[in-house]
Amino acid sequence: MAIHYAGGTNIFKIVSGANKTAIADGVKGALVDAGWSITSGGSGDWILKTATTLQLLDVEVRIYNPGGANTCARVAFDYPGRKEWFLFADGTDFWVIANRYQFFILQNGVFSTEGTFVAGGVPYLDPFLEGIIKTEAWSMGNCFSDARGGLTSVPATWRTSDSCVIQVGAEDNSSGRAHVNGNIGTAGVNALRLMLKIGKTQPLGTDVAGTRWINDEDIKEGSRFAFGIINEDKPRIRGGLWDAVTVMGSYPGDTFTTFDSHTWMNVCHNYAGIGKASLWVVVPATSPTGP
Amino acid sequence: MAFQFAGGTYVRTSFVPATRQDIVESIRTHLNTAGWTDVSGGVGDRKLDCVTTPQALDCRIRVYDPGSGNCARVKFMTQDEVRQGIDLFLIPDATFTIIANKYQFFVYAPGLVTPRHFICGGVPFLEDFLDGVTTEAIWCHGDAQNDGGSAAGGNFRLRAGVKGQAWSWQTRNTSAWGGTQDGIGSQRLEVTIRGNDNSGSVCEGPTLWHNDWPYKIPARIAWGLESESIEAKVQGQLWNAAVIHKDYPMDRLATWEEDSVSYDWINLTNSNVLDYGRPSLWVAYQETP
Repeated sequence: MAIHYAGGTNIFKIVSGANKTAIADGVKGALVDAGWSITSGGSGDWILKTATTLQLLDVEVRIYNPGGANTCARVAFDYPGRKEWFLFADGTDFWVIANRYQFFILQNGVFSTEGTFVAGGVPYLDPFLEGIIKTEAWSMGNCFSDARGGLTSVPATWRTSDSCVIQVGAEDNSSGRAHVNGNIGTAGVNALRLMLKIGKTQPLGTDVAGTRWINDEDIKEGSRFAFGIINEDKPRIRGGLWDAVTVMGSYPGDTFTTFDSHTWMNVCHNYAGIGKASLWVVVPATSPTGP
Repeated sequence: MAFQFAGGTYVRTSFVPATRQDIVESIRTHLNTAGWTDVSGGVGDRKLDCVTTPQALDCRIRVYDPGSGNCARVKFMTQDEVRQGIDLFLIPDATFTIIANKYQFFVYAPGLVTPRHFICGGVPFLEDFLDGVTTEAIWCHGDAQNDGGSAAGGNFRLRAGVKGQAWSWQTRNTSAWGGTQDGIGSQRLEVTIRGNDNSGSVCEGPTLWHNDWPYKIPARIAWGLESESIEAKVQGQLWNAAVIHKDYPMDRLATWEEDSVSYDWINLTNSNVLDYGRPSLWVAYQETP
């Protein structure tokens, strides 16, 4: 699959994590720079909207300080079944990587701490899905509540895995959620998954191979993802990420490389699953701009 | 990742051999039509060369009647015959179909998956960055390990690789190996799965789009460089071939376009529910008339 570039402006920016309002305002500023528009709001509570893709997809997201004694800023996409994701405001800065259709918010070098990762947006659609998919958006995060530390383990997202998962047995504790045409994406094992290229001839076993070319270069392709909806047996492929490639190799997170005339950062840290994969996204430079 | 078509003359023809020699002569005749050239031999024992690919790959086969036993045999080798493959076996007890282009061919018996009714092989297409890096690449396998018909369980007639009782041979840049080897380096097609598919004890079913179309990719082939214990890596791409991630009955026909050219395709893999993504190997046998 070809890589699909969003065009417009790619943003790689440091956002202060000093407090909830700083996070909300900083993310808002980064997304506006990337081409998102302000629907409404003011300092500490913003509703922003992606640009509309050529396939006519867009989505709004609210980024806000809930006030009170809460410790996290919140990110809430506006689509059926959406969840709120939490970003912990403990003074640690965030990095925002964004284009006009999607963003990744993360903390540099932090991979397995709740409240440090949120991503979402609207996908690229292959031409034969144009008009069939009329609305779609996706998002994920690694914290579901203001009480950081409330989970038995930090949930898998594309920050650490090829898949989002359900945590502690509750449907609502899924780390990824999407929708398509008003159908709520299922959670748990059918939540957002990257598509992988692999040469593996049977379940289980240890014969995973075919993830590299004979010259040892990893197989890499424009990132596609799948998720399930209610009453479907298995997840379906529902689009692609913008400015993103899935590389069939495991690498440290927040490292950089260059190919296809772009600079790329690996979001997915040292994923060691059977289908080793990493998710690389376009950044304008190998270091972010300051807050 | 574009599909690659060999061009030239495509062959899809049936033949009904009564003898081992009939198999030899039929394969020779139809490969000639596809562009393969006679090198030497006579009735019942032929050597043919494929056309050299744009990436300078080529191979030779010997197709012959051994004079006794049950089967005609096909052996792939380098054109200098320094590296010679294993005998692949075809028994003259059924109607066969050959699908060939100037770089590769498949011979199978429609409706049958019993041993001694399927062989395949050829030279792959190379991506630009492997052109000149890979100077020799030949792959082949069959569905029987011997003239007596011991099954080679893994073959493209049944699944996406030769895992399990393999009977395959391959070479890349003088590194040739084959036989019954069966491991992480065995011949296989690249497939597409969803993340987390690999966590279960069974395959998770076909890989489908939102609209339930099965996911389709060019058929890339991988094998380990030196032995079955060396990780299989992608060597190149089969010509005129697609992996479709859904199980279909063998010999099913379909027509679709690639790069605005319509082709007629046939599914060689019989209802594969064994492999991740349930891949089936489809081969284009002609441009749609």
